Amino acid sequence: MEHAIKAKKFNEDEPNVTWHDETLWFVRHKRDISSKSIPEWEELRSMASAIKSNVLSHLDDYLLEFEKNAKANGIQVHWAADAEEHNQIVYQIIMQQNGHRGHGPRVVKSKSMLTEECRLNHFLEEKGVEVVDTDLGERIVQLSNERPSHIVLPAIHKKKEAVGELFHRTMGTAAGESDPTILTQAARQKLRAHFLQADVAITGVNFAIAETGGFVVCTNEGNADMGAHLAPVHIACMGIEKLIPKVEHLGVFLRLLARSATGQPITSYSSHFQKARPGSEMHLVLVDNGRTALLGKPDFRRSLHCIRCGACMNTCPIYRRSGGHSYDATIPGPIGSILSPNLDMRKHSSLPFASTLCGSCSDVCPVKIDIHTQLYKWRQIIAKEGYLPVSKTWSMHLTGWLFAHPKIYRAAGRIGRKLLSITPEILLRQNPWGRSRDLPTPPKQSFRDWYKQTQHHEK
Amino acid sequence: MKTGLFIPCYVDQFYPQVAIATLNLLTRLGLEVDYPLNQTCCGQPMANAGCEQDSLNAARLFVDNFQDYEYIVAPTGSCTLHVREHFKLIEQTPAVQHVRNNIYELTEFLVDIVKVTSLDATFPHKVGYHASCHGLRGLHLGKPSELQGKDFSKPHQLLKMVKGLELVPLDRTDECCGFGGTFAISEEAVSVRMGNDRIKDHITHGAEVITAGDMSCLMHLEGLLKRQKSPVRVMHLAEILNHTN
Amino acid sequence: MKNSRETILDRIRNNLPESSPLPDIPSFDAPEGDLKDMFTQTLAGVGGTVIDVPAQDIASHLARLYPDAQQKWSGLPEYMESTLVPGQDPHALEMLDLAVVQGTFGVAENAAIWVEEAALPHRALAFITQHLVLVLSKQEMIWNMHQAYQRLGSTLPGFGLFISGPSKTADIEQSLVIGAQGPRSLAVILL
Repeated sequence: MEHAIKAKKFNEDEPNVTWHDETLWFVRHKRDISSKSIPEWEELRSMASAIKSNVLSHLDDYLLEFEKNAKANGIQVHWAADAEEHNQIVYQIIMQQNGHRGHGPRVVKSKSMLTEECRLNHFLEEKGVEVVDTDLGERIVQLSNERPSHIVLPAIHKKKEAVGELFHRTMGTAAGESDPTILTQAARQKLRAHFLQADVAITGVNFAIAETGGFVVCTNEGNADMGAHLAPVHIACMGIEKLIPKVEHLGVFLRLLARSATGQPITSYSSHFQKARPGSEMHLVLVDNGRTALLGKPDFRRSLHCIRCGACMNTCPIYRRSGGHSYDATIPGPIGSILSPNLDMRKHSSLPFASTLCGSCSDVCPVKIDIHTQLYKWRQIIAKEGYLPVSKTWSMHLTGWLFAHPKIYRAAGRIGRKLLSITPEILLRQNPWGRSRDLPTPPKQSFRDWYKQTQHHEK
Repeated sequence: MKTGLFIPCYVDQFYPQVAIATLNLLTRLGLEVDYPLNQTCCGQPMANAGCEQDSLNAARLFVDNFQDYEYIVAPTGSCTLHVREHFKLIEQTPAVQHVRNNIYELTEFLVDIVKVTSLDATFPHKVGYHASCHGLRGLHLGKPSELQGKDFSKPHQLLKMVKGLELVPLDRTDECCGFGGTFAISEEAVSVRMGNDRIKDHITHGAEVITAGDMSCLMHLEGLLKRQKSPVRVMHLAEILNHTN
Repeated sequence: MKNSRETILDRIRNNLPESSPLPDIPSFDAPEGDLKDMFTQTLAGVGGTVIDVPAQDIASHLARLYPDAQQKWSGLPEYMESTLVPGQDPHALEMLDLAVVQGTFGVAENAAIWVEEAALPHRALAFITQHLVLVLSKQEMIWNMHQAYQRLGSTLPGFGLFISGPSKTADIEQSLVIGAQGPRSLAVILL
């Protein structure tokens, strides 16, 4: 099981696990305080969920309404069936720009999980286009040749000393400098130069509004805006599920998003883009990439409600103790574990099992995705498709058979307890249970035996 | 009122004292309790592992064993939830529906059906309560910390009726212990780490005994405690609620 | 061959769930208390400050608060003179130290202030300036985001935004740093 192997590695550094766990738990704690300051919180979650269900049930109409209004606003709308087409569209738009001073077009990009999903950076870099990620966390990850380990806190796996070393190497900060303020200021200076030179700014989209043909982008750093308002071309990329019907629905989502994500009452900037500024171009790419397939799976389509707040990661006791990279997926954590098998079931077959089904993810989800139920359901599909280890499949067949045959089950229990009581401890300590845990001391008598002996005859 | 007692397979085999305490507790409250002798397992281990098909015969056997009881009581939130939620996989005969609708986890049975207001129980110790996830979030035995609303906890309500018992506060009131069925094996590293973190929280707050409504969580925590030669013990809620001096 | 637009729409139509209704969105009442006080308190929590001085003292107050600001732009000349005259190109705002911008209304629950592009010479200005001052009338204060969008209606400007506090990040070890890519500070003049 892939996740377990990477999680085991992560757990070799115990103090780091403690730090990772406590840091993210604190974010969940802030989310708790913030959400509990809103008396109608649970009502808002229900509304958000209902709006998203409505969107999915009229997605074709809303997309057409959005397209019509966006075009009327002068936005150029593109449709991409998959990641490859998305990347090609973005590349074509970039290549229409001239670049300057003997340099090809320069691209800045703010955070967008969709472009991560499509591996846009990788694609563009192979074509020789330089892309600079401008969200600080994303920039850190990009400079380290890594991928984000969290959708809201992309560099949460990295300690400040590691960032200091990275910035010393790539930005010339002083050796040994690890103060977050100083490092952030250094990145600010470097990124300013990139913003000022950019020919194209790529952003994600948090919400696109069908009735206006506009879209909203939320950031704390202001980096999406710094890019989009300076570069002559703005390309916004969105999954088709990011649509909402009306402006008034923003009220529900903007109240939920930041409070769920970080505990802030709202992000510093919630920018409503409707038209390009004079003399500039605005493009919007609508991407499917597996979303319509998910729409066709009644048990799983609610995962399309996701607004990418990351709350399920912060609350997940497994995520906090295994790190985002252990999931080996664009979107890690509980929500990633139900989205990823839709994209590549073989590769991600271990993810629905990286959970105890504790259900906390479903409780924090601002759009009420039944995450833990979907994890359970993915397990059934993965088993049916034959992606379980053979040993597990057979042991489950056997156990199921045993539990259907009471007499044999009882005999097996007696033999098992006996065997356990005479097995040398050294052997018991070889298996995954016994390496760190003692097994229960087997009693001489099962409850049933006791009951039959002491109670049953009385009746 | 005829009540059938369901005892999870691993409790039957490894923790008979928990089942005995449950039986005695219910009997002392004046209930007529019967333990059907042909019971085995609810089928959850297979279903949670992705092998629902392998769980169906166990589910049918469960219904055969319990369909004639007015109530079915089980000292486990996890199996109770499985019966309620996942027995929808087998044909919904009146018997199956009856079983699904009338199975209760022990503490919800005591609070909601028996409406216990006092207990003849004494346990003069510092106790940490571990809120097992399936009982908490699946059966709503209490309010999970992440949800908004008025705080309540049926197990707390009962523990407060025990003389001399001091319930210790915890930093994380309802974090998972990391057992998770086959998860404990397949995700050994994370499972062990989760269990140790839970234990630390209880010990930091002075717990002498860790209790819970599910023995599976406690089996995992007990395994870790024993290996570390900790003096802290685990006891199922039924053992404490049935404890007299 | 069908284009991707048709392909996607076809796939959606083949997989469309049963129609599900939109919920009504109530506006939810404000809690007891003064909205301005709640706004001020929330603003402090998101790293901003309120300047609550009589109108005639604002100019001198700003001069005291930002003694080092050289390049300034103000949408409200009565409070501050502009020293930088924006041209066609937003890149020229690179040197801007301080900007004073009119906000349309404020939202007490999250200290967000709605700013429209009409109040800005360039959209970039609200982000590229080192320090930002927003001017807001106490009368233009509402409780929450539902009321905010009721007020905005369905006709939005070409660009508009909610600003709540200065630019910030916690991307290094969750340590909060004010002044990420945008303004290093945000002050709100309440009139």
